[in-house]
Amino acid sequence: MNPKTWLSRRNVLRGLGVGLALPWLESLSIKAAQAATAAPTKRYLLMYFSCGVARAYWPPQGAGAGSAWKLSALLEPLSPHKKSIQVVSNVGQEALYNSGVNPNPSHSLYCAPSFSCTVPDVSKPILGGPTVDQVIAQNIGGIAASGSTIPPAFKSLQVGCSTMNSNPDGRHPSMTRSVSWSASDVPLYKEVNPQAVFDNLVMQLAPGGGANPQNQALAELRKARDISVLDYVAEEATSLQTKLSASDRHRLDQFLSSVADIEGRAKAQGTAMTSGKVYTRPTLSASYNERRPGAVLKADPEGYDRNTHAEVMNDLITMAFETNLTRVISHMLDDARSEYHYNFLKQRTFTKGSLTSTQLDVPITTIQQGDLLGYHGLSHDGDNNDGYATVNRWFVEKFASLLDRLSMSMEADGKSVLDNTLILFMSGMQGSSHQLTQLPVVIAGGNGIFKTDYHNNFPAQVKLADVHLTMMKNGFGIQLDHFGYSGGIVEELLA
Amino acid sequence: MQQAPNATGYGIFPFALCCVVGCTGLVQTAPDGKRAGQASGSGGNAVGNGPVDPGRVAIHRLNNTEYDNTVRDLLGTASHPAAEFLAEEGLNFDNTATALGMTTDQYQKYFDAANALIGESLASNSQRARFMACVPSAVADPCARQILGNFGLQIYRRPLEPAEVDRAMKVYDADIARAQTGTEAIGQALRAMLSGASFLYRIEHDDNPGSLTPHPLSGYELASRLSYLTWSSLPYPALFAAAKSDSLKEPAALEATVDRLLADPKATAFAESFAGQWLGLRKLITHSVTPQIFPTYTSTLADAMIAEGNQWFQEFLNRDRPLSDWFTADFNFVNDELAQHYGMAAPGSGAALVRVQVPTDQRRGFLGLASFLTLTSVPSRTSPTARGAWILTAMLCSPPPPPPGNVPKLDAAATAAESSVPSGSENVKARLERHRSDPACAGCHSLLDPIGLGLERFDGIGRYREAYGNGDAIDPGGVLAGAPFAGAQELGELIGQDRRFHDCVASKLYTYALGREIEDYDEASIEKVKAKWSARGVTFRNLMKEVVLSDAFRLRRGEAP
Repeated sequence: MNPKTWLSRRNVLRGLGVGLALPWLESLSIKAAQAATAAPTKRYLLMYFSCGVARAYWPPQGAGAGSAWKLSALLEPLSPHKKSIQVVSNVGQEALYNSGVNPNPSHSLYCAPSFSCTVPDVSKPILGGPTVDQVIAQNIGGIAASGSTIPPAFKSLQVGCSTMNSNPDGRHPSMTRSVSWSASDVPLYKEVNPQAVFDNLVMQLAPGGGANPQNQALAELRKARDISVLDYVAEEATSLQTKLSASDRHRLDQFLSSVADIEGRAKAQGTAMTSGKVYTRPTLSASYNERRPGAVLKADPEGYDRNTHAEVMNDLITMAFETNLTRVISHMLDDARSEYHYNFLKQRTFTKGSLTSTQLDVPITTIQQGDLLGYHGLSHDGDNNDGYATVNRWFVEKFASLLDRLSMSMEADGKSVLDNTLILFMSGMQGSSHQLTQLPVVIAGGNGIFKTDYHNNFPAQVKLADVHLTMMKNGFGIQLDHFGYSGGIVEELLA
Repeated sequence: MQQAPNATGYGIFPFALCCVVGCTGLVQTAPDGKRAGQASGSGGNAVGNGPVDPGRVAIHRLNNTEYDNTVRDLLGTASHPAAEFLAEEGLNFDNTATALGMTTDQYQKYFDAANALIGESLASNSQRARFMACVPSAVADPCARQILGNFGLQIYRRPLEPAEVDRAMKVYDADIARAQTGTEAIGQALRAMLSGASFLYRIEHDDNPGSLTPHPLSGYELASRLSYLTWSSLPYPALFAAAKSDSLKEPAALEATVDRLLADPKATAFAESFAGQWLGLRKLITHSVTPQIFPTYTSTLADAMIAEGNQWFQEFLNRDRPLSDWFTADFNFVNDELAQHYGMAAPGSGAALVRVQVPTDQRRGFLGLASFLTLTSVPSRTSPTARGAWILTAMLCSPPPPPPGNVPKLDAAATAAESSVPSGSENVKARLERHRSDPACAGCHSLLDPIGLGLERFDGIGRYREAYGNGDAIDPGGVLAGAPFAGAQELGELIGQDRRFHDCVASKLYTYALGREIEDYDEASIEKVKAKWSARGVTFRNLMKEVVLSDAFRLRRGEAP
């Protein structure tokens, strides 16, 4: 069955509802896109987690709407938000790799390409196309969202929680470390330091840095200085252009456009509306360090705690959205082939068929390769491996805790930030088998455009590219004919 | 050009990968010693005494190592701002100009780092003294002009035009107008320069960017090429002085400068960067090993292996050892842990590495280094395929093509078992033989495997052994490019005699020194370098000198508009 040709009565009715004089069978996709344009979603969040899931405990029980489906043991933390989510089963990316790419299961190949749906060049930083979040950012990232008059200071944000340089599978590390690419050859690396994210955000808030009105004079000095410096930088670089060849001028243009972005932010400092909340600078800092010779691979830096890190990132994502400082964020809970040791977690036991798991009062079991290879090692130890599932469940828990925040943050239109945000929570890898079929995919929020409280269990594989395309066209009214290897939109995802 | 040495393609799941086409050209050394598949000299650029096309290097953003080293030498800072930058890797080497792009978030990092560095410098007496030769206070203060002009030379790595000093003075004056102190205002002007393109990029100017006629680099541009090649940092004061007097144009002065630069401890930057990438030592940092199978592999042992690799290279560089010793030299650099790993007597030096010579063992030459042997293995065992592919790629610059995609899918269950089951009833060699019986796979594997099989007496972390875990005796026989050999030593001798090894070393260093990929027009230039290198004595220092003396290093041209 081809999902996109499946027409429900509701789809037909909605097509008619926008008053188009097209024969009703001609093009539902166009109608759906135009219907979406009427009420575009304000924001997009891509939340990525690595290494897939312990498949035995992931699929929801039952399918369809409401009481017809139940959350699985791995999805259990989402129970407060069941009404805001749609679990999509049988999404895959086989169409891409059937086109002649090395099928060698690889964490890196299943990371960035999951969001561009293109065939990358494995050794160079060439992805093949921009990622879904950046296509959305390029369309709406610079435009004020409805209800706001000020364009977002940040066209998009890239954040994440990884702190260690894990093995990039011999591929270019950008493939495993970034899910956001603004173009085929431009990976946008993520910021993992919560303090840096906060500092950049709070600078934009009025007055004088939002949380510290008493520091207004200092904030104004800083802003004036930043602008002086950036004026110098732009003028200086421009003066060099005449001495450069065409290709070097192009390279310097890349520099100048980055400078212009930063200058735009600097000039907007202190002008964004506050949300009426006081934001406090996180006390946790984190950095993305290569392992230095002599350092022990497993150790966290002193004072570092991964769970706090993830929670603080959730705070910052909420802050960035509710202040309308950005409309597009990608968040990597970890890198593609993470060797991080989730030793802070307590072991849980899972039972096949059970919809819950039990936490034990013992540290997580890192059996087999897990001890040296961290989370990646666990992911090789089978789809019913409790250590693997324990980490998976923690990712879902962090997703749920973000939904907690977004659902409690109310906007002027009476909806929550969650309602007004379209969220894709997924991994590009199935599970221990390292396949790119049956990917774990959850959609949340979506402004009523996408089905919620729904388990969409497709009988035949749905192309991941089509899922992205549907989100872009219907969620944001972006006029795109195709994305990567896409075939068309997936009507069944839509409400 | 060549891909970076990379064990993965053929390494992690070698039994599932097949190779249908493309390996035939790699079987034998071409009679003229050229790399298989390499084009013969093109008519207009033949080897001879005529001028060669020096090519051009794109504007080159400082990579993370270069940034850290440059601000260390410029400002005297002990901080490593690039640790907060994004971990990045380049094409071939991480100093390839065209692979060093710029995004908004990256620029934000540079912008923030400049601010933090200036804050730190103003707060430190010793750091501030590096530029505050006087203390300005007023708008348009001549003292400020003097500071910005003088220190600006080091920041831009060239003298500033008066208009450029004017531009920096505008930033200074604006801060004075905000009622800030002269020192603070100087800080802002320096911050602007450190945030600017002329600092963040190494820019070589063409008076006529559209002209293809070669012209010599300026003295300052040449000085930067030399110091970034050897120190990954800006020129030292005497080198700036030589740049000013234009004395670097003399070949003797160039050679003396290379010697001076290599004699400095800062030249370890070259070993760590060049050898660290060429020999894959940097990748060993995150190489995975299965502890249930290799419980003695620790991060300190891995660090000792990396350090040995670096010192091995430096021994050849600093002591002018001939390249012909590369596969035969009978020394190692070990600490107590690595000596124990090698089965040698511990030198009693604790964690410090010392040079040792044990003539009675089987470990000789580069192929006996644990860093190489571990890096080219998979976590749980050796991979003769990966070792073969690595030798062809990194030592002979004749990389096999990547495994094709149209092969049967990997059986998922076998994947997990493959990496977690210790050497069992069927040893690696037997399994590979079975794999090669598939004609679809034989093409490449029958070329790659016999190279690596000759190294089977070194296990997955480089320990010497004579039998597999299951008791099967190990036959060290192998075949390289049609020539049979027995064991690491004979393999090393074969590679050492292979003309492609010398050519490969030359092209690697040429690539690194220029910071760009090798283009077709470089062939004549490289041939010239190799000919002069052979005549002069085949050492790394001589090679570096010949590259530095080449037109490609000293000249540049524009680009057709």
